Amino acid sequence: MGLFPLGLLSQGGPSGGGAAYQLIASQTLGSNTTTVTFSAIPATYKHLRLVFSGRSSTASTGFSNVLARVNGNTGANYWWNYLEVSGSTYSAIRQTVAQTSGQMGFTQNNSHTAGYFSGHELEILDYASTSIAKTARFLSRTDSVDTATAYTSFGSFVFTGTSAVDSVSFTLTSGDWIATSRFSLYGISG
Amino acid sequence: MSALVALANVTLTANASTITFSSISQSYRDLLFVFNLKSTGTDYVQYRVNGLTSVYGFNLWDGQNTTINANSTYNTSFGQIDQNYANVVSGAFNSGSLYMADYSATDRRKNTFIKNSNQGGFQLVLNGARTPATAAVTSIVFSLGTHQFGTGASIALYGVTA
Repeated sequence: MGLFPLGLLSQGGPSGGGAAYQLIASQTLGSNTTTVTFSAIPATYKHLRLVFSGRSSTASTGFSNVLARVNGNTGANYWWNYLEVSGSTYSAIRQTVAQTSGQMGFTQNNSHTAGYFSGHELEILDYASTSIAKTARFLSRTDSVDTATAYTSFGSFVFTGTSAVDSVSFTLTSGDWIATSRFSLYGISG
Repeated sequence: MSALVALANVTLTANASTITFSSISQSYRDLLFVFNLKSTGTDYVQYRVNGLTSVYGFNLWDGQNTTINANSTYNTSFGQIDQNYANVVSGAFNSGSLYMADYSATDRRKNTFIKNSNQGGFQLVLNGARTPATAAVTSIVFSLGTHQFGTGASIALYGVTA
């Protein structure tokens, strides 16, 4: 379950002095972009939360996987697993060998009906720690009315590096994020 | 400055068929509803935005007792938060959150993330949904299939800066 969506945060900080949930940065793409990155993330929060909505530029009625990386790391240092529901079936998916990114559901490609974007929540826990691997969890959904297909994915990935996370980036297995895709990064006090 | 701003809070002092938030400020990008709901009978929770009666979509997992179900649809007359639940445990509430991304945008349907726990019916729900139209959301009405919300049911609404 998400951190703040369950109402665990007040508007004030732990001592009532500061905000417990703050917008760090937000991007609305002005043009198609292969990699969306938040960099120089301050280490002053306990957890990170990212919310974004996007769509792939690929001209097809398929779907593209959404991939997340931290600290620009492209090594085989990610392990992920998730639950996926589509139609009346659900499945559990996991990786048995380390991957080069964290996979977190799908986005629709650009030949689907306009006006539909995928939505994603991602929370990276204890991101500023320098002694533990970083666990992230996500909830993603996408659908298309033209092919009567929808996916909701709930899962997590682990980045095995122990450095503090100071950047997060998102790519797709096919195409760019289209213009107007929106990405927001929040810090959560602990 | 907090990115999370309390906009409204409704707590019922008598049974009611609906809980409505109207004239929602367009000053934020996302909305968060935190609910603690009680029904007068076995039912499910639904919502409609801007008075629209078609075509909502959702797909969800529903863990009830020891069984997991999947349920998806692309063409319903309302957004559905959970599956039918029974008040097995007297007095238990249906608690969770609904996060609506991009509610003030006008170029896209609104992706909606719902997390719901109902200890009255031993049910957990994770639900990815979307609204039917691209217009900015200015109102939302929560209701039940056939019953009423019970006294003490509450929904808090927050605006989220993005």
